[in-house]
Amino acid sequence: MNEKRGPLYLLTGLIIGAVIGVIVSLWILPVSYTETEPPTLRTDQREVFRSMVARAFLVEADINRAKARLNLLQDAAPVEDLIAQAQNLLATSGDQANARAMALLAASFSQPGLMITPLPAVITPVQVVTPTLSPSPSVTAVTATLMPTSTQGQATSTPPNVSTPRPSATIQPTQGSPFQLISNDSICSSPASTPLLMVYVQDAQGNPLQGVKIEITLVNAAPAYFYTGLYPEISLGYADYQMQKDALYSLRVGDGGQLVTGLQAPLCDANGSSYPGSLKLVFQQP
Amino acid sequence: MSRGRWFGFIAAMLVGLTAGLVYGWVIRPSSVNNTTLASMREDYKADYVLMVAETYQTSGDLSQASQDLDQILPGKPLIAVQSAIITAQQLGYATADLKLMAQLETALKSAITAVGATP
Repeated sequence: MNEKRGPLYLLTGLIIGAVIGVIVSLWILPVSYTETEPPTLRTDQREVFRSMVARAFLVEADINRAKARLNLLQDAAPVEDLIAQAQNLLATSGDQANARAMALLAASFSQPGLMITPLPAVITPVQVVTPTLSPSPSVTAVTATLMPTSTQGQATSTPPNVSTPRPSATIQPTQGSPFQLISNDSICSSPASTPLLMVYVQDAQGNPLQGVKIEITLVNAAPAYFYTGLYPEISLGYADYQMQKDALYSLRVGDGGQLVTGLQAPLCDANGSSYPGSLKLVFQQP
Repeated sequence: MSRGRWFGFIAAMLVGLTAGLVYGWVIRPSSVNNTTLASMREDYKADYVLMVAETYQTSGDLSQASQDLDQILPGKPLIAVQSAIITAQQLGYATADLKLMAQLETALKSAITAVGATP
């Protein structure tokens, strides 16, 4: 019996092969890149890098080095990206340390004269056990260079941690005299606006202060924290918090600042109906 | 199906497979703007490790440092630091920076020795 079928089997094979090839090359064994540069990092990895730069900045207080590192990402708006990430971090994970680091770095970017106090070191030099623990000869050489041990292979104390030149310590925004409330105004802008607790923080000369921690507590709730400097377009010392209608808040600016209690969204009047307005609080160091 | 047809079918499939692979690997590879810290060049990794060492110096949190190092070499923090030290030496990093990295390396090594694990 003779089969009289066309070349359809060739087309079928071609299609099956092509589909397998595309699946393998795009999903199973996709192209992987090595020796890449920071600008090519995907979004979540950029955030990790940014966060690390900010944390290292708190240690070194070297804004030029932090700038150089952050510029590696080639962000179009590095300050805005830092602020957005800090806000996002506070909103999602509540990681205050990281958020504060990024807020301070953003503040230092936008205010070149701002200096921060480097964090003190807590790690003391560790004694080297023996060089034989190193997994590779090259690493042994590195260890031997940096922390010489005795020729007998016995553990010796490493040289004391030599202090290296660091940026001179200056006053940190959150340190100094405690902040005091100097004005408390109700703001009735429009019924459609969100009731905000708007906080302006100033030093004794009336200059806005960035990176100042603000603690806010709702009755029977855990305290929340936010920082000044995240809205440089309003003021470098500005921060705000969205209030709930009829809720009572306590607020403290900085560590050991004056505790302001009984804060509540004011009732505003518009065409006979009332709506919650905003509060504008100004804190200053005496 | 005759042997000739089978041969033709497999040959056509191989041609299609080759075309599919060329499409995914050459014509339309995955975006280069989607890379990870682990794929960065060694000099960038060395600077990243230096940042980790700097934060470790003030926090003393070895667990956090290990997590941070996982970003560039998952599961092998000690090797990540050792590689970075070698790169940093080649690039002429300042002694102070090398010391920071060495401190982190020593701490990791001590921790690994303490639990009896291999790096």
